[in-house]
Amino acid sequence: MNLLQISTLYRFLFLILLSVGLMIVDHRSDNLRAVRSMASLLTLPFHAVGELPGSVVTKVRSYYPDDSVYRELEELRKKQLKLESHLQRYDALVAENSRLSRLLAAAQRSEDQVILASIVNTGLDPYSHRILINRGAESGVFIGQPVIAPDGVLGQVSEVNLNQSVVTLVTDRSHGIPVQVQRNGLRTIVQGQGATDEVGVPYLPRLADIRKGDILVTSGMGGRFPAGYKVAEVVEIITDANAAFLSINARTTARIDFVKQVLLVWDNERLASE
Amino acid sequence: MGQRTSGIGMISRRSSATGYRWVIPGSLAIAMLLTVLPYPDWMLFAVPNWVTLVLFYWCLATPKKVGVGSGWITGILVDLLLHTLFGLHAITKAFVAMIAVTAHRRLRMYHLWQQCIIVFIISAVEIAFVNWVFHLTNDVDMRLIFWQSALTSALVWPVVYTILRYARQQSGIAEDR
Repeated sequence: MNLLQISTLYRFLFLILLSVGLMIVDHRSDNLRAVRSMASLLTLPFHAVGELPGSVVTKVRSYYPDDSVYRELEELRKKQLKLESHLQRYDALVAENSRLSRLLAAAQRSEDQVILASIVNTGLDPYSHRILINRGAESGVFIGQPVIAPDGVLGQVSEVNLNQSVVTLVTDRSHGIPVQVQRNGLRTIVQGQGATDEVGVPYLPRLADIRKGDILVTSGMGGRFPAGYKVAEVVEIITDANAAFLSINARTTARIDFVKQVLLVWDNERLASE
Repeated sequence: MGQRTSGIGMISRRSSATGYRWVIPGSLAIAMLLTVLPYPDWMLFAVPNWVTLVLFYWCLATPKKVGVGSGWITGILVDLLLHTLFGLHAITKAFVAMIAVTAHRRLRMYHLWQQCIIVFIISAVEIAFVNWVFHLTNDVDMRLIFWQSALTSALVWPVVYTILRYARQQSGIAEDR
């Protein structure tokens, strides 16, 4: 029996060293990415089964539509009409824009390619804001790929497996995104804060021209996100006479906690330049 | 998975080999499934540490079959499942297994509520460690809210214990001495 305890202790010490080694390798390099990608096939059924109860509930609910569904339908119809009318103008504007850019001999901005992906899991761990989506290397997903929702930027792909990828959201502490104020083109950075739909704008000087209600859109700086997608809306500006920078709270325009499906974007401008 | 790590567990009882082979990895798999269920937002920090609970039970009851090695492999699978750093949960699960295996005789003597306290402490240590590594690698704040999960783990321990003991007896797996 003593033997069991002693061998347990040695085995434990050995495994600790092994794990620490693995963690360092995994954190510092990409060598283990292939292993992870292969092994994700193993964990796929878990996520699939884990998803079942939720999807069954929505499925069953979809057979018994209540008032809210009709109300939603009505709202969507109205929205659709509104969008269609906007779209007519949009087509004209695109044509005009391309004509003007040709006149200016500038690069023509084409539409970005997108594919749809479903969110498989949102609660990977409570410590970081990451979600799992059901598209991976097989669909051509790549690391750093922008991920958007219909009403704004969600984040970027941070890990690609065979047919799943992990998306780090803009609200994650480690995520920053270059933006500009839609109203006047002021460039800055939106930083995640680890809160559900709040982000910070940490690096604006006290006299910067920014107001409550300003929309922040991607600026295209850094070459990762294509320009012009909505990111956040300024909800609060706190001016402290002693601080060098403004303290700004913004809310992501994408309703991150309600999103079910996301769009993966291929930036055609960048593809063309590569 | 469990029996291979120690090798000597075979002597206990061989009569119902089929249940004996599947109950342990099966219960661990169910625990992993419970881990990735889509919990509502308010529960996110209070999800019991299912895998730790199940692992803890098997290490207490059958320390010759389920030990540090199986705990480590379970942890690696959890890392895969949650897309965390390779080896992070492996360390914590091996730690849980080591405590349980080395002290299994004493722990078995305890009342269920005393075991709850042990479970609380062990999962608190585990969560603190995971949180600390996240703090180092991902610049996440250390927050006290994560201790909720240790509390719920301790609260559901009696239920997990009862279910698993029933499953063990039904499948004819004897307690290791």
